[in-house]
Amino acid sequence: MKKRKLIVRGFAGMEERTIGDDEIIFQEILPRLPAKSLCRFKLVCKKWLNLLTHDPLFLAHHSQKAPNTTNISSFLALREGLFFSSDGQCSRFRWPKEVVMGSTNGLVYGMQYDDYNRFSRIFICNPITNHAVHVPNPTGHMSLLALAWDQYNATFGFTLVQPVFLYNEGVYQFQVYSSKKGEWRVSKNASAFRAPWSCRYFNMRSAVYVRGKVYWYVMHDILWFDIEKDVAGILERPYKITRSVLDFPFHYLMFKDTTFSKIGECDGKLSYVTMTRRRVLEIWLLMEKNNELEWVKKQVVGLQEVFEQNWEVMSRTCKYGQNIDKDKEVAALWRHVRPLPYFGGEFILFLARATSKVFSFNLTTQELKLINKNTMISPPLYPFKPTILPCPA
Amino acid sequence: MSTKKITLLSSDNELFTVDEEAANQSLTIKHLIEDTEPENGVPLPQVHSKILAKVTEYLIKHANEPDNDAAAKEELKNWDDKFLEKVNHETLFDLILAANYLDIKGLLDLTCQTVADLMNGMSVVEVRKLFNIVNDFTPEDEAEVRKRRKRGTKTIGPSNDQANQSNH
Repeated sequence: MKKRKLIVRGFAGMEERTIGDDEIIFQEILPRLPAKSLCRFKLVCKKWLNLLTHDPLFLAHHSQKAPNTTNISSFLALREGLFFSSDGQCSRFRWPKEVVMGSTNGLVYGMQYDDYNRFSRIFICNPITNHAVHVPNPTGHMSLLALAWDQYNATFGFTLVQPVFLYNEGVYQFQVYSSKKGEWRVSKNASAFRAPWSCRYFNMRSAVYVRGKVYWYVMHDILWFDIEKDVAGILERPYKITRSVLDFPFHYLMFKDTTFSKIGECDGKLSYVTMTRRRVLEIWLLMEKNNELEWVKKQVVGLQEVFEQNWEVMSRTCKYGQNIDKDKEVAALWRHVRPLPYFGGEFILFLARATSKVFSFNLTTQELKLINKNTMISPPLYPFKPTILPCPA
Repeated sequence: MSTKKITLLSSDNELFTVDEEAANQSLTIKHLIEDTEPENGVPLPQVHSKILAKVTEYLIKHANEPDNDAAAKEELKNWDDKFLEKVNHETLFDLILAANYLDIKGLLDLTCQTVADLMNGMSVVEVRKLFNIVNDFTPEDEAEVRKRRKRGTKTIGPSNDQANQSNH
């Protein structure tokens, strides 16, 4: 009996074979497909539906082998309903009108309002499988809400963290929701001191989850919270202003010198990208050395030369017209070109705000490429790794 | 430098000769040689000569993989693309099964990636046809799955009653 089966599956009879129900298709071929296609193929047959929705082994396998997992920065532009990545992919999405706060490893989270525009609860959703879970809302306002969830460790559930600034004490407190306990609690140990005046200015939607820690980019520094140890703190950003604070009016420092920075995740480390007024792009990584965290400069790029060399591409960011003064425009480019968070690999993306174009810049070959030719992409943009894993319940 | 030649015997008794270095990319052949030391050809009863010809072609080309030479790597990649360009689907699947049986990692990666790229642009019906899968959904089942996939106010956006219940 066994022998006969072997012959059928092998190559002796050239006509009577099909690869259709062979295990190899599930082990080798399907994990190589992007999540969006896999979701479509649930309709092939019942076996596939079961496998693609529930089989934990396959899902884990896919999250490791799938494309778009390493070294490609990909973003979701919810306003336009677009997904795009640094290798030039661009695809459409449909998205309902919820208020999105951010995304972690392929899950999008945010707030949901009822018909009377009252905030009703938090949702966490995988936009690819359209699977969603809901969480009751915590007290306090929600601008810094962050989701901690690991694609490779999906069985552990998720954690939501919501920092609240207590003005009277000048301290950040953290409200934590863990999917296992199913309720909000206030973290007892974790608190971070901060001058009250600097607290009013933070970048909304700046939360980044990296290996058990959540980071927020808050005006001059980076606020962090360790989920397992239940500890919090404030980290200095690597790029410092060299001028004296007293030389300039206060608001000048606040807004002119710091707005072009972004934090992101890069191979399990925190990355910090900044574009200074001198048109220099700096990429820093947060490394751990002897239990101490240290900023290491990864790369410095002079953008002036880059923009001049790639003028053909960059001219799309400027005003349209016949008589463009090249030197003048190049000098003014930094005003509306912003770097996006860095995710490792050789690409970093820029967003030109004036014309809603996104460029990918190759760090090794110094080459600029336009990603969206015909479509518009405008902020906010969410870093996004597509996954077919369902939301943890 | 003389290299040892190895003879491979396909299921329909055709002989293929390759260098030992090339053959060793296949872990199955390597183990077969080590264990049994066959005299007239390594017998591969699961692989037809048509497929084995392709496999040996791949093995010979990939025998000396360049480590640091970028140009050579590029050339090898182009060769890989050409190698599978004119292959029809059936042969491609046979190659996958053969690569799996012979345990050739490079070939398995290459062929599986090709099929995955192929599938990426296909519709559900085309995929069924490609793998000879019978659609065992009833129309109701299918509508149910489609409905769950489609995003709308029903799935994510709560109806007011539900939202209020969860809050209290």
